[in-house]
Amino acid sequence: MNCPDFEKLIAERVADELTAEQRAEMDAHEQSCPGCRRSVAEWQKMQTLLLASWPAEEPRLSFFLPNPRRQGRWLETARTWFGLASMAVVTACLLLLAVLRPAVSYDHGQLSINFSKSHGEEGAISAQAVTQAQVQAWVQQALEQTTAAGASETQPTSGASPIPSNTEQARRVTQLGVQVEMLKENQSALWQQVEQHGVYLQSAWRGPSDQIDSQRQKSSDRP
Amino acid sequence: MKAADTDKELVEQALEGRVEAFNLLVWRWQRQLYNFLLRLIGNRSVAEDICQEAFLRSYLNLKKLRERERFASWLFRIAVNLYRSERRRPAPLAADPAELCDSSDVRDEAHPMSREMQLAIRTLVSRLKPELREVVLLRFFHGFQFDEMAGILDCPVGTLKSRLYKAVDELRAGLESQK
Repeated sequence: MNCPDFEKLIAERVADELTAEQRAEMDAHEQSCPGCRRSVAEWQKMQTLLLASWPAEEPRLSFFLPNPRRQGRWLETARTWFGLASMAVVTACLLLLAVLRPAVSYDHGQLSINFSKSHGEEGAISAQAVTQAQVQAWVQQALEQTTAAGASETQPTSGASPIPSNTEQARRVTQLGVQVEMLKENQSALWQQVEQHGVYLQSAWRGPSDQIDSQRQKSSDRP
Repeated sequence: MKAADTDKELVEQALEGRVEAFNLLVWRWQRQLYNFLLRLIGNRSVAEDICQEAFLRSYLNLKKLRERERFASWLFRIAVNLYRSERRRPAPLAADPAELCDSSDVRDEAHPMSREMQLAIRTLVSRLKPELREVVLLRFFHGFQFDEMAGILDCPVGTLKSRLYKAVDELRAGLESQK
């Protein structure tokens, strides 16, 4: 090894980064060359001076990153509870719908929701819209009942009951006429209410006999 | 995860989402990086800012690190690039060694040196060209090998060696002129 080759490797020699072979060659040259020996000493002295002149200091700040795990754990817990609460609410709503079974109808610009019990339960509530024909039928039925009652009163009964006089008959006919007028007024008033409030929902407890009738009707409707 | 884990192991753990592993890497290298930047720039606040930014960028781009055992070189390269970007700004960084020789510097027993001598050597280092100063700091203060320095400074090994020799010559000449 000559001096230029030695010079090229001084930095590695000072830092002890040489291979065993390079180190052996440099040792041999260093022992025989005072100039290269002095160069190595100057490099080592320079390194010592530099390190001594500027010792490392501790940073004033900590550069640690925030640990998102704690935040993530909190968020995870919140998400879990929120999810469970949402599932509970949805389940409760579904159960309520299954129990109450609401009937929704829309007529004359009005939305109506009616809650009824299950069909299997005795005495279930039913709701139906009242039509004009139904009102007329009710009035007609009442008229017939009234007329029949009046006729039965006017017919002579067997036995000891006395035959009513012409005056009595006239009084009963007059009463019947008044009752017919009242029924007609009631019919118009009822229909006015139906027109005014839109769909009129009639709720009534249906007895077991009604259910049997409706079941019969359903079975008869089947082909 | 433990302090004895290598950089490569910590990088792999950090990539699995364990921030503690990355914090351990930060704890391992923050003193070195901060002091490198402090000696390079000569300004504590700027050194802290760049150091923080370097750690943040390294965390955000950790997936891009291919040679995971070379985390330190990669981190220093990020810091050097940030320093160079800062240097290109209209108001370049000005190192002030005198400002750094304040009461916070405590002379330890292993390296007894007068305050004047410390200031003289720091001034000499700060007057070196930035590319020479980078090489001197990485080689003498932080003990990086030439191939690692080539990665950090994005420069061939031959060029780095010539810069180092030139820097040593300038420092030696400067010290002799002060005698």
